[in-house]
Amino acid sequence: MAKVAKKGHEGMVENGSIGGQTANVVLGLLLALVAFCSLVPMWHVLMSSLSNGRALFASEGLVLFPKGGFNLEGYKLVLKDAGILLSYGVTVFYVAGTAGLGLVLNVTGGYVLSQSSKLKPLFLGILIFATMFNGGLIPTYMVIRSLGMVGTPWAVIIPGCTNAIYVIMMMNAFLQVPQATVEAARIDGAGHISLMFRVMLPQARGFAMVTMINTALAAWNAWFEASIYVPRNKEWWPLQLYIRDLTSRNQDFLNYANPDYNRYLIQFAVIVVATLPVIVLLPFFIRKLEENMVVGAVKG
Amino acid sequence: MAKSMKRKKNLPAGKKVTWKEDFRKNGVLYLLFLPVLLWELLFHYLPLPGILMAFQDYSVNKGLFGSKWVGLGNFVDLFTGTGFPLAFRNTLAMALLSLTFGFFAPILFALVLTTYPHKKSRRGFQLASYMPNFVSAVVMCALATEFLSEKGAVTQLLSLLGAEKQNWLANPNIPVFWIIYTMIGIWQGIGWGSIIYVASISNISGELHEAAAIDGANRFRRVWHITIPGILPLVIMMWTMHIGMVFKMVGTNVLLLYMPQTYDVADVLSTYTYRMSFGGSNNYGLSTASGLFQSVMGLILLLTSNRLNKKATNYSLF
Amino acid sequence: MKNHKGILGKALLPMALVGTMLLSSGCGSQEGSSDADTLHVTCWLPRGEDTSFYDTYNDNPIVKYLRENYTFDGKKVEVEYFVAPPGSESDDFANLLGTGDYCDIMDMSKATSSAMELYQEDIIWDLTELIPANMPNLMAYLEANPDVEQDMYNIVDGEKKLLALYGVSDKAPLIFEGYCYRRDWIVKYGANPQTGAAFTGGYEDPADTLSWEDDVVFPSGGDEPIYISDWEWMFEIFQRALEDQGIEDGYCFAPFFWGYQKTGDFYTGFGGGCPDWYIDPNTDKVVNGTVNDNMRAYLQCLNTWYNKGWLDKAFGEHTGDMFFAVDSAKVFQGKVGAWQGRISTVGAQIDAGDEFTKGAMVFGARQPINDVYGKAEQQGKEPDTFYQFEKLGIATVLTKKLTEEEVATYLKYADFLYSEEGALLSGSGFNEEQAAKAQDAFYERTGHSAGLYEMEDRNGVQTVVYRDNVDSSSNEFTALILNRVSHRLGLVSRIDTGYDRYLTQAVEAWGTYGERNTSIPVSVNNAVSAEDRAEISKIMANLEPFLQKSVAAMIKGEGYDVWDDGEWDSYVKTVQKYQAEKVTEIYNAAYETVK
Repeated sequence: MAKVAKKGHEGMVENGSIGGQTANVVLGLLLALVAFCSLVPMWHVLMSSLSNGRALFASEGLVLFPKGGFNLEGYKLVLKDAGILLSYGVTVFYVAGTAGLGLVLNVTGGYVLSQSSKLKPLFLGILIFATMFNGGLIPTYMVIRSLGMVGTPWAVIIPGCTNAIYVIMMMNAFLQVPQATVEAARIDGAGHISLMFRVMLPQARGFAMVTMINTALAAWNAWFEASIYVPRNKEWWPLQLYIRDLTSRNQDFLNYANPDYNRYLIQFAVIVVATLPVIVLLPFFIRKLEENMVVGAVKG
Repeated sequence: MAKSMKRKKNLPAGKKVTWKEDFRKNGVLYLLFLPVLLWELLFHYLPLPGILMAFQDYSVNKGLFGSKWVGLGNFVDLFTGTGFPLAFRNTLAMALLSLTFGFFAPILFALVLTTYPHKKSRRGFQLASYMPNFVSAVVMCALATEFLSEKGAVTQLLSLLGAEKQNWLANPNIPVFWIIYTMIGIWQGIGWGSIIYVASISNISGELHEAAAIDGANRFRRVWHITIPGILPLVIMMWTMHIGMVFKMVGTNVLLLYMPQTYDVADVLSTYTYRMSFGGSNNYGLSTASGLFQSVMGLILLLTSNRLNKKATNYSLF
Repeated sequence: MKNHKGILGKALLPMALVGTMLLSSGCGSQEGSSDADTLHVTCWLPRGEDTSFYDTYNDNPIVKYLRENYTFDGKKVEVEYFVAPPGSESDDFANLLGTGDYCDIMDMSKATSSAMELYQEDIIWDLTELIPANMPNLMAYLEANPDVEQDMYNIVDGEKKLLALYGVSDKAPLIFEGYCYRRDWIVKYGANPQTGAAFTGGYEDPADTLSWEDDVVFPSGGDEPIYISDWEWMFEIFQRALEDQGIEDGYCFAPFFWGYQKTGDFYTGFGGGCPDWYIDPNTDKVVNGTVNDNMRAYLQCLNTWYNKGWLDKAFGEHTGDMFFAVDSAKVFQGKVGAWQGRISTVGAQIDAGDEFTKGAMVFGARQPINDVYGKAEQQGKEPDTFYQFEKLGIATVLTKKLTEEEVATYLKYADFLYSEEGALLSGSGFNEEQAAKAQDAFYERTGHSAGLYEMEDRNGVQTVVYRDNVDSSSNEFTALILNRVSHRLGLVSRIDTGYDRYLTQAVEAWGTYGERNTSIPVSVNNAVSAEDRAEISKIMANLEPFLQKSVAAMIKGEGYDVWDDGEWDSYVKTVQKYQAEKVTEIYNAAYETVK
């Protein structure tokens, strides 16, 4: 499998088949439609952020080109606060922390659940029950507070690093690993640790990466946890909380005479500022995911 | 792949393993599970007594142990409110659409994506499809509102198909709002939701495909005979998880989309509870009761679907 | 950008020491930091300032100045501010209360429990005796303003108690929104209702947007709209304006989303009160304003207007709009005749030089008085209930984490903010002398080292006039003064707003009917028990959607027919089925206790 995957399968059109060609066109159109629909909101946000504030305020509907001329004032307002740049660093720290810690927990948890044992049904039950019920904000806060984590970045990283669904997902991934491979390794004397990391993880890395990307992205987009657990430690505010602060401060600009309409642009500029790094990084992850992907079409 | 989920037939037959034997054999495993177990206990189970708020006239200052107990009073308030029957019906309807169209759209997208051979443009499509995930729900819903307005793009398109020009979001007829709501959900999540399926499809052995190709099976036959059975266990697992949470997920965008004339079709349990418990006095007891009701409904659905799946396909989550 | 070294250092240090860190997020107790010379207290605020101004609210120039230059009971008072994160203010408040980590002093504007509940749970101090004993300035104010004093009290077991420290002002702060209309449309498309002569008007000097003059006369005789009949005359003109300019997606008037506003507003011109619960001055009882004849007359008016095509057809469909900024895009496109707008739409401000806004001149209009619809009781009565600012501001409570002695000292400190000197310092920032003394880095960085204002004599009143480089509408200004601390005296009547003639006209028009208000006052709300408030919430959760739905439908002529007695009766009966009368009873019982 690995070999086939690495070769890649660009341009694997069903040779000479007109039906195949037509199918490709249809599939391509379908994908393009989804891609187009998905790009529309982001394009709207980008173009809005580059618009003239007054013109944008008077406009209705989709913004295809900067309204009232190209204007960078919104970005100036966003970036004038040096704190926002620092909060990038904090967010990267949170993302790395949650994704790293989460990976370890998801993989070990998933591995244990993929092995049959007497306690496995209990463990699984514990996880599934946890996905359904939760104690609510205040009791959770009390627990995290009594652990001494409130006011520290751990309160953001540790409770958010995994969840039962990811562990179950990893269990599923490990169960997909061919039994023969596992048995062979076992006979070679591999223990649980080396079995898990050396033999099984490489074969389930697609799933491991999916859980990791999901955790990382959730951490990237998160602000609520930080607002509850590190509210007064601004040096630990992630980007999204900073942005929220900035946006909410500028919502009342219309309550004054001769308002600065550039403040209307802030809400759009911050989305771009917060998404740009992700857009740069995502293709890398997609490529990694694809490395072991086999396209439906194989050279015939 | 076939073993990817617990299959009844594959259970070790007969011989009972004693606890002692089990611990000797699996002790290391249990040790390995300790961090996850600890995490679950700390952050999920320790706060769980908070659920008791559902049976209290909860006061933040008095805490869980000082607040007054009201038995099932909060549930009675919840179920006897005049808005409850409609909110419940709408929640069910939107949950059903979410479980069908909403759930299968990302799978379909993943299948189409992985069947498409041009690698470069495929990556572009994939990246593009993730973008709504970064745009806030407020912006997405504002755009949807615009597209569905009397002059909006979608309205124009529908009028070409013979539909009367109107503000679709203001249409109080069943099931217009429900469909719109589901479509917006798909718009927001189709790309990001497909990642897991793309990963799963990528795990399917290439040799299987190659063998099938040599046998002369075309792409679509291979998708039908190899890819779909290959991801079926994952699909069933995701579906089971999804069904458990569907009640809680319904309604996140409703506040941004509904208006007085569509209350009857758009009001859902979450908006109804919100109004009921935070209009002036913070009624934590009532909102917890509603959350608990939704959880229990979810659990029932989850257990039922798990049992049905086990019967029908032999795959089950547990 | 210069002062970011501070925050940079602070951010990097903990990152390096991540393992050993254990900060506290709550206010905790600050024992040991208070000594014979200094009182150290903590204070929770729902909002602070931009970090591009200064790191924390403790660095606010006024906070620093108060800390360094004044003593009370022989002590310096050092207040440490704890600010809630944006968007989670209420959660933060609830968490602090729930965990016992609350501050010594708590601002109540985002509170999740009332001062009464906090008092009954023995969390806060009863200030009934402490305030008179320690706050001569506040007491002097209350003596001069008995109406404000009345609203400050809570009734606990039949006793009047002062449980909080309230912000107050010498005059209700100016409202920043109200009805606006296109004066230029009236000039261009209207004619004198008496003589039939076309109006003339425009800029005397085309280069000067402050030089607008016109000879507009309304049917009631004056130069501004006063009665509903004036408005209807105006709408006919607007309709011509829309037709003449070929504006198809515009309209004459935008009512609020849902068709009514609970705070009164347009409704109040139809016999007074508001479409919610209010105190009827005739009977001195709380009545339900959603089912009386005032409501019916109001709905008949809007229904007529809707049928004539004067209203925004989609008034009930503005799902995405902010609060009451209904369809502001159309207003700014120049396609609306009259609307409820903020001061940012008054005068020539919406003139962007394009097709429909070129030459736009917007005037403010007062609440109209009904003279067309309903019975005699609904006509000719001056509006008495509408959204407005009041002299009484936000409450702040002092928790039992402070000793009685500490409370006394803090109240003396706070009382300074109710003196003229303290009110000026906290509300208008440094004058030249104070700025020179403070040498504040933020003032210097923003170019205000000469202070923010000078006092000028205006008709015998010493008035604050801000310097030219001070923009009192900016975020920067709020950071230069003590804006976030709410328990202080505001000197509204003594500050030159710097408004031009159009803004002045608008603000005066909006304030025509002064500070009347018949909606449920704070004191009555304070007297409603927690159980009763929960009961009201439950009833309203079901009743409100029904009201919103039916009002919109009645205006459009799609629901109950407001002209038909039988149908109106069945509307009233349905509202009562939602137990609306129970709400009336609760409010009346509460009103009885505070009368």
